[in-house]
Amino acid sequence: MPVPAVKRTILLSLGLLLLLAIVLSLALGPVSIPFTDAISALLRPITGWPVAADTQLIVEHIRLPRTLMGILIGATLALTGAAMQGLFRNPLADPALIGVSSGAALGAAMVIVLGGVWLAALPAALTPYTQAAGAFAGALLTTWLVYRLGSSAQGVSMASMLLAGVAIAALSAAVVGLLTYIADDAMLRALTFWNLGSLGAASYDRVGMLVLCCGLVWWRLPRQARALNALLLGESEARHLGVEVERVKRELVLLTALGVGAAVAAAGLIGFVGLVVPHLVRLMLGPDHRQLLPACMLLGAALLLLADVAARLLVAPAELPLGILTALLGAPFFIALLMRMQRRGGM
Amino acid sequence: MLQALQLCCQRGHRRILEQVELALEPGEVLVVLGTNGAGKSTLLATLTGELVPCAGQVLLDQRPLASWSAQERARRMAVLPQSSVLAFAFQVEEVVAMGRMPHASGQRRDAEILREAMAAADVSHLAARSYLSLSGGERQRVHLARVLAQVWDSAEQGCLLLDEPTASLDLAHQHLTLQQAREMAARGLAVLVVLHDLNLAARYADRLLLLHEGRVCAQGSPWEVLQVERLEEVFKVPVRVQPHPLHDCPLVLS
Amino acid sequence: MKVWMQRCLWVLLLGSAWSMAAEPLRVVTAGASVTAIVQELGFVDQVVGIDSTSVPLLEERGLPNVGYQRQLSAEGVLSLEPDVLLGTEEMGPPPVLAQLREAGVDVVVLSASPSLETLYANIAAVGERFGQGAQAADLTQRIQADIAALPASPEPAPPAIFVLTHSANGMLVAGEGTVGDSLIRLGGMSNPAADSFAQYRVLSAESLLSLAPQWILTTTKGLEMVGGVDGLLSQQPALAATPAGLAQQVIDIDDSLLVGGFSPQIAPTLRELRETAADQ
Repeated sequence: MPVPAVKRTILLSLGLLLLLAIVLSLALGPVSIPFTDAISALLRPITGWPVAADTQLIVEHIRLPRTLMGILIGATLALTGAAMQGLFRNPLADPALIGVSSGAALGAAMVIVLGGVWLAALPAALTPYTQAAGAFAGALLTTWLVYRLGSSAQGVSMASMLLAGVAIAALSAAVVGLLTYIADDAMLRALTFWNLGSLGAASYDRVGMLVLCCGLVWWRLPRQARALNALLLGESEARHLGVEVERVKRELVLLTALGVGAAVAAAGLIGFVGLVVPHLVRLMLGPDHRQLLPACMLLGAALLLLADVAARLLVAPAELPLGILTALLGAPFFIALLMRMQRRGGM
Repeated sequence: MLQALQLCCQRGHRRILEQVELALEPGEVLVVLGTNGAGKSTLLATLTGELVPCAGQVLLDQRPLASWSAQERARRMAVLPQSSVLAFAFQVEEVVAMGRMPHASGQRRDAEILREAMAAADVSHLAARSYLSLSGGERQRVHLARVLAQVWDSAEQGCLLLDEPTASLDLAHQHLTLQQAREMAARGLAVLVVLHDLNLAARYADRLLLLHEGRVCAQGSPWEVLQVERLEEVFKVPVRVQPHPLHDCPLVLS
Repeated sequence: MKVWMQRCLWVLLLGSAWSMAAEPLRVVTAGASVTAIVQELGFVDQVVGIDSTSVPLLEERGLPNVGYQRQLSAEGVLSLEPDVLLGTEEMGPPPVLAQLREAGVDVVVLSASPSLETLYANIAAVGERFGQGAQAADLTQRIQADIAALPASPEPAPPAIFVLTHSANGMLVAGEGTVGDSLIRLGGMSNPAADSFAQYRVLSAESLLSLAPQWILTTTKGLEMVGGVDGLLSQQPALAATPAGLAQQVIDIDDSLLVGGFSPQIAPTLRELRETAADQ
């Protein structure tokens, strides 16, 4: 277990990794832009250096919102994943795995299809917010459902979580099936959008929504670090240590639902970030949430950005949906983790 | 210090505790005895505020328990559970350090207390180990160190509640744990221990409380409580009680 | 001096105008039918990128694939330096189209409505945009002639259903207003499903049986994926019990004829369908 000085070094390295990922995300893409041009385009509002119009466009209107979205979503998914693992006292909890992300997607879909006329009257800039509201409601409902279905003194067992995830996925598919009866083609297109997470539709509207929602989560969630540590001992023990368990649980559920809801509404289902990143961070820094949570934010953002760069470049000029990439990388990781846990004595 | 007044407690439709009266004073070790299902865990849960009694009151320092804020209460009362569900790879020292959570005593004082608490629970040599790599008994002692740290400097203000702390421990550590309980009492804390073993209770308790079917069957010194007829009635086993050859307490033979 | 400068300026202006006019427009097409229109009008050389549904049409050319038309990548398309993005309302996502417009790409959105009128309108629109007006008129006339020369639809038209086998929700049946529905009717058959619902739906076994189709139409790729006619009928016992299923009367239609509205190459398929319908 590393000593405080080592922990600080690790955190610093993660910060540098994130910086590198940001640079790569802004500099690389299907259109080759020399690195110096990319920097000039970024700094143009300040320096006024001349930059070719299309370079400016690509960097400012395509890559920059994408990078910002990647940071916001990556950090939030990793953060909420860690919080969920603390809440459920299960290191294998991940919002996508246990159905919370599907619930969020369903909520957003229902807002689109059922909202219909009222929503059409709102200005287009507000659509990310209405979808996020639906996603938040969906995520909240499913998190609560999973918690109620599977809670025991030991926390929520793996079996309960996965079963709840299966149940929710089935429910989701059924409701989407129902919705296709009343949805018109445009809505159907939007519905399918969520199943393949992607940063491709990044826009400043969405970034704005994410800043608001994720900002709130980033502000409040790390404050629960000590309470999360105590919760890992068990709910009674946490209570005996002076933690107001019910209040903390409520806040954790709300913040997690908000973070996951916003991420899903903006970019669709991106799974395994909430599982892999906290696990990697625990291997490096240990389970103390006071370092775990900020480290998860840094590593989550960095990894998602790097994955997005790969998604953009691997099959250019086409684009791999990010959700597929994270699943391809994350699922084997998850299976390996499961097998290791089983060997050690099961969950 | 910690009082239960006419405590009645219900779980579902069943009445678990009936008219339980209890007073825990600073500087003493009170041991709660009883058969399985007599209500010991429920009593403990009610005393710690986890369960709300359906009648009667629990008073901490003359104030109703419910009126204490979670943090205030945690500074005065530490509870050692029977078993722990911790499944994450914390370092032993980090687990013990969680005991200082309710306090704002500063890093240096905390570090001192941690060292002393770990020494008292005989886990100093495990400080840098991962919690998950420990045996059941070692884990139990780590939690003992944690709760000791929680009320280490509370003296007359603090109370320590231990729920069957000797369950997974070997003989030496069973005695070590109860000796620690006595030492904490000597420093002024009020200590309540739930035990199964009559003889450990007899040896280490200042007072005994015998629970039977949710009621207080007897309360007093070990000599007063451990009477043959009473024990045979409660535990349904023929017993003999005689003076302990080595210590000044009764010895129960069954 | 001034006169000399003026002359140079004129030469430059005319030169650049000429070069711009001579510079053929770079096109990215999305939707197999749209790509087919470009193919038929004869300016495939100007295509610099295609979507995934158009790949079977232009395989030998090895053109860059911009991916699924509903999930285009803004930078990906831009990396091909197109002047025009030609597709239908099936293109997406909308923010990407907006980014492309902002970058100066002319995003032309044709209708994907499954009717011959739309096909003719699209051909005309493409012809106009790319200065191929004459070729467009020719193509339209040719198709109209082919259509007029189709054998008459039999009376009464045999009932048929169009199914999509590779959907996450199970097998979908085409109702009113779908490409499948138009295909059936233009092919000389009737679509009983269109009387009950619009768009695509999953039907219960009883509903399927009550439609009693004599022909089952599906896509070639879809049929392949379920293991051919035998695979389809064994996986869908309700289908197998219909008159079409019992007689193993399953027709597969090339997918690329149906993406992005009707393809201009649809006429031969319609002829086959009408002949099959009349054969009853």
